[in-house]
Amino acid sequence: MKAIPFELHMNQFNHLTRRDLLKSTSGGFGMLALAGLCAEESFAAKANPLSPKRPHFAPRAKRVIFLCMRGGPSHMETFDYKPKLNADHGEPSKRNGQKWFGSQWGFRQYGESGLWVSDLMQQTAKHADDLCLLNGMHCDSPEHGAGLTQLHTGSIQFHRPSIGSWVLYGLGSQSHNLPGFVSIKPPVILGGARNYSSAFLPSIYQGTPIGTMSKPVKQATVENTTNSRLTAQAQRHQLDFLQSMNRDLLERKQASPKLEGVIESFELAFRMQSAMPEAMDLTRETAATLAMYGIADKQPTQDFGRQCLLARRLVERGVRFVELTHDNWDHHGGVARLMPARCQEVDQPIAALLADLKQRGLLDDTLVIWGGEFGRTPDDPRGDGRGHNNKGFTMWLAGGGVRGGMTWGKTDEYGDEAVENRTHIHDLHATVLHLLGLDHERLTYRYSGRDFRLTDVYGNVVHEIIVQSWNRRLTVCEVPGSIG
Amino acid sequence: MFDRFTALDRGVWTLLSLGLVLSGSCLAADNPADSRKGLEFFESKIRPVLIAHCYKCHSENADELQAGLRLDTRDGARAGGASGAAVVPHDPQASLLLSALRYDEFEMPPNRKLPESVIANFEKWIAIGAPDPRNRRSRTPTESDVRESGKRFWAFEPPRSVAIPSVETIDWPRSEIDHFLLARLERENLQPVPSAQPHTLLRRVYFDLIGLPPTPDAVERFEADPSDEALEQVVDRLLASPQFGERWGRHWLDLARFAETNGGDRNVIYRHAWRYRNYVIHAFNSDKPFDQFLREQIAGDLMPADSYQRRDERLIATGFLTLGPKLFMETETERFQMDVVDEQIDLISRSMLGLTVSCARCHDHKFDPIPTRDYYALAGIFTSTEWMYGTAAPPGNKYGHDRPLQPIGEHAQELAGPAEAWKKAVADQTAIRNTARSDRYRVVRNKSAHENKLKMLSAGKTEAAIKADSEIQGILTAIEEFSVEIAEWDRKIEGLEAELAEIVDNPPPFPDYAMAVHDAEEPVNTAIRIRGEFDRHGEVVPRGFLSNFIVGNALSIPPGSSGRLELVQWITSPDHPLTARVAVNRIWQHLFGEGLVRTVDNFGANGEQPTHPGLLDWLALRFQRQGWSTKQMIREIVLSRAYQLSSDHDPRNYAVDPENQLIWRANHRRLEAEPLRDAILSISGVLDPRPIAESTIPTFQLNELNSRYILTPEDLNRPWRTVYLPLARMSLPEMLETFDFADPSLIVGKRQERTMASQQLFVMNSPFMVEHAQRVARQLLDSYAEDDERIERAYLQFFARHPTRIEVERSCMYLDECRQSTMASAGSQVSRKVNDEAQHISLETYAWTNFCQALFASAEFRYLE
Repeated sequence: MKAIPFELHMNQFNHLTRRDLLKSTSGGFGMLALAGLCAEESFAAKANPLSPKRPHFAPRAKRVIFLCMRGGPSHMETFDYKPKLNADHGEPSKRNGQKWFGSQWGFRQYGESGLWVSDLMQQTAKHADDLCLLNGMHCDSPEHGAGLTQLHTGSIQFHRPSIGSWVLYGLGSQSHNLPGFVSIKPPVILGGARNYSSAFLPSIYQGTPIGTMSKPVKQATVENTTNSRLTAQAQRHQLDFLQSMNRDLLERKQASPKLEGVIESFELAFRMQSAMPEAMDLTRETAATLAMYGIADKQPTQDFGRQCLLARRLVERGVRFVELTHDNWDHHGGVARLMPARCQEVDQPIAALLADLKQRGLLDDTLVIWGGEFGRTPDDPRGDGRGHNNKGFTMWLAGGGVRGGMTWGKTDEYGDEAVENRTHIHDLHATVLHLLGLDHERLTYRYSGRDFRLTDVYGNVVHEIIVQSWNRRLTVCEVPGSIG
Repeated sequence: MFDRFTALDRGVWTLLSLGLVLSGSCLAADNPADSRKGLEFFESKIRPVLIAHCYKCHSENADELQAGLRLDTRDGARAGGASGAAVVPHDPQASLLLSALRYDEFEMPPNRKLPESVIANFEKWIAIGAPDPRNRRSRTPTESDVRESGKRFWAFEPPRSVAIPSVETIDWPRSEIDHFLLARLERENLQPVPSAQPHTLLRRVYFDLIGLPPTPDAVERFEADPSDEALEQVVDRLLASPQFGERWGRHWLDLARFAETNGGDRNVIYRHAWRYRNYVIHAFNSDKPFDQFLREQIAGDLMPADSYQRRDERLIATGFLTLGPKLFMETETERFQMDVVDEQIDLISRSMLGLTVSCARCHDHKFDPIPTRDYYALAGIFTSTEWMYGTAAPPGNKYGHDRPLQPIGEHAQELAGPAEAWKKAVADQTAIRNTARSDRYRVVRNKSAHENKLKMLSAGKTEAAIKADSEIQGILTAIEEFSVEIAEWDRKIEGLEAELAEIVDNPPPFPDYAMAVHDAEEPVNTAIRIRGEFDRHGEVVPRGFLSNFIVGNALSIPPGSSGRLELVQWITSPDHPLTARVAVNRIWQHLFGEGLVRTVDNFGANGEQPTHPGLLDWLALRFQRQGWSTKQMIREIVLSRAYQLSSDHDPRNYAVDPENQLIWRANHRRLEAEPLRDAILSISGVLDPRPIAESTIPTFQLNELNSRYILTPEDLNRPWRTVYLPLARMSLPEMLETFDFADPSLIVGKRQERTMASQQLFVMNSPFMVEHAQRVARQLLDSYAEDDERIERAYLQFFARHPTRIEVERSCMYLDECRQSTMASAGSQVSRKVNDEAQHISLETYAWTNFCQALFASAEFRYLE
């Protein structure tokens, strides 16, 4: 059945038809499910704000995996090669009492593109030709809480929706059985829930947290997906009894979208109980896959490996936006010891994620984002640690229509400040939305008397890093939504 | 002309005409819902295109205005430019804009023709009359524009005294309220549905007034005598019960973004915030005149008081201003101050005036007559106010913006001095001790450095050689001296520790404390900040109020005062156009589910128009005449016939007014998180109804919640009424979060009403639901012998009604099913879970627990009809 005739059919009878569908004997739900499958974009969109929506224009990416490096990783030790800084190591820097602090690890060129990557990220570097290094990033605050909330919401001070919520609001979810925006191991501090909050957007767009930053992801669960006392069959019986009461009420009240919503939502919840544990069950993966991600007891890679693999499983199942948090990159001292440890934890899992997405044909339309709330300073009085640097740092993108094997933007020769093709967090946000087919100036929500955007009044799409295909860019689709 | 249409064009035409047929009835201009639809169409389909493709050359901001045509205002679009009218409502053919978009005469936009679907939208928009809310001459109004438009807008005129409308069905109305509503329904040829069943009405009244379900006894009493007099008695009893303030106080706490921690960047615990919460509850219970309630919260510290209790109450009230989330790590003191001030202006303007004054922080308000100048006139009042939120109180971290607390109590003055002196002594003595410790440590490090050197120098040397080595000997002497010095420090530190312990162990009696504000010593005006940037100062403006809202008895701000007292005098002035209207509209919303103005926090041009303007004004004036009595207003509304309607469906009414804007039936409303939780606790018999008068957040070593110091489920899951649970920002109890409790970082006039799988997962699986279902099951089993009786009782408890015969039968069937499936599968691997449980509790408890949980989970329990 094609979507359009069905939509017209439904429109003519408005939602009394829906009620009739629901009422019509015990097959009501089967019918509804069928209707949903047949015309999910049109019919269901009116009832369910999470149904897939058409973007503003043809998208390059359909989903996002955001690898959030909490604490602000050093760009000089990872993806921003600074030979001059290394040469001047130990010399007084431009700041009083500080000395230039060069990287202790070598950089090499990788891939056909010859991107420079640190020896600490050798495995990720194998995907150099898929990476787009944004070396000229900058943001507004050198403070963790403000920086992290800006990275997620665009604002350093106000309570605003997270980028994942905006994306879900703009595009809906492709999953029937899972939430559309998931944040794995989010921080409880530094803005905490604010980093995956929908703020004033309808809270249905809120991120669903799995676990918290301070605990291994192995222990993480989604709340209340298991019943400690009923078998699945017994619970189905209970649900049937409960739904019969709900349908009675619906019959008495009639024309109540709220009640219909409750009835449908119970069925989704029931499905989630099996879908969520299934999605999170990594034992279903082959030994080779687990090994590729570095998932084995006592391996330093196992926790982040699990997160990455979980992310792949979730996006495969239609989750729109998955964020992973990795802590802690805040190295005010002990760079020599801490940077190799942190990099080791993430390097192999990231490489595995990119390879895995690629071999499954998902990398083309999955945007992977890597980075923290800011970078580090290139100088230190003792040559031991690094301070916060919001004026110049590196993030990278891969997949999802981004040009690989390129570097965009530049810091000065010491890595101190972005000086060329500077990219603000707002620009990154605008670009991410653009890749998803959303115009950051049109993705608005009216609240408290004005239209809000993820990018507030800022943000420029960095077209230079997008795989060019002008036809696609200019194709304008209509946003669905009817006034009737 | 037809031959010029491509196949695509014809397709568009077909769709278009179909669209018009399907949606035609919704776009008739005179129904409020319909004109909104039209505006929504404009906002979603038309305005974005104008902005993206036309404004560059045809707006105020155009570098060079082309052809004299302005498309950024309604008047501009209609007047058109050099070639004629661009938009002629209802006449697409005559609208040059459309012909230009089609590339007929002009080709606009010049670079590329817009897609046919977009052009079709323009055609449709013009055909339905080109609804366009942009009724100002300029996007950035001048001050005189602003003043003029302010005079015209309904919400900015004082409420008018209106005649009670007459109605045809004269025996329907019970009160004036009903006259207003019925007259409107009759005008639209609609008929209200019949009144609700007594049990439905009773349940509604209980939850609306006190947030708890009626007991089975109360249901049966009322069913026996559902007369108007009986209802009045019930209403009066509920209004007089202490649970009333707990319910209605909570509504205000949503607006006051009440919480007991800071949220923001450091989640500092506000140990004394609970006093404000209890003040609010008490204010509603004592029916404090609402204008006085507002006055106390902004300027309680400046109001005279005849007793220390009264003084303290008013000080506590000003906690309202200090409870907001703040960024304590902000390094720029001035930015910190301006952000706090902004939060307070936003708070006051939205909660009390229904205005979004904060929009004017960076530029003149785009829609309402609020110039930036007025924003900074208000800001001066709050920069002249000092906040006492008490982060400086131990135990605590140190922040750049620490402030003390307000001492209260009978002997506040006498006790505060010694208490402060003691705190300072502790801090000073601790600092001395710490300095001594680090001095000692310096010697220790020095000594160990010498010891290392000694080891190095003497390695491989004979004893004789060592004795002969003068450098080694020098080091040895130094080490000796260091040891002596360390011993001296140890003695000294021991003494210092004892002194500190002496002070710490003997604190003076402390006064109580509250979060509050007081006036700065030298109140001063503040400067306009250009584009809202804290450090770009413009002209300094005198402290004052919103200049376009002139009230009769406004006072001017004396030089030595912040102006808060005068501000709140202006806000509560009887001829202020907004305060009373906003207040009664909120009361209305809590009783009907929607306000007469649905955007309850925004009465400005961007808000919605009232559905019943006359009624809103009548209520506002009556509210004032009755001494701003919230209880009287609620009583009057609840006793109207309109409030008592059933929520039944009516196809004819529904076809005309599907959103029930004209109130032809009662709205089907979901119980918010607190009445839902309180009802569960109350039915299961564990609710402890006593008010809590202390901080319920545990004491930690640092006065802050973070990854180490968190609230545990035990802290959050106390058997108290929900309003008394510890309320920490970013750490809400799971159940409250799941059921759309107001985010305490935001000013919330209307809760969200989500329907989400996580809610159903909570009722299906959470230990909380199982525990309470099991409690009810045990009670039913203990108190009644027969299944029928138990089912009867359960229906009364959960739904405030008797079950039907079919419901009893179905319940019995389900219970049997539970019993049988357990018996049948006993011993099998699959039913291990069931059997584990069955060992602990009886089969009957298992079956009845399942039954009660289903009742708790049901829509009938979780919604109000």
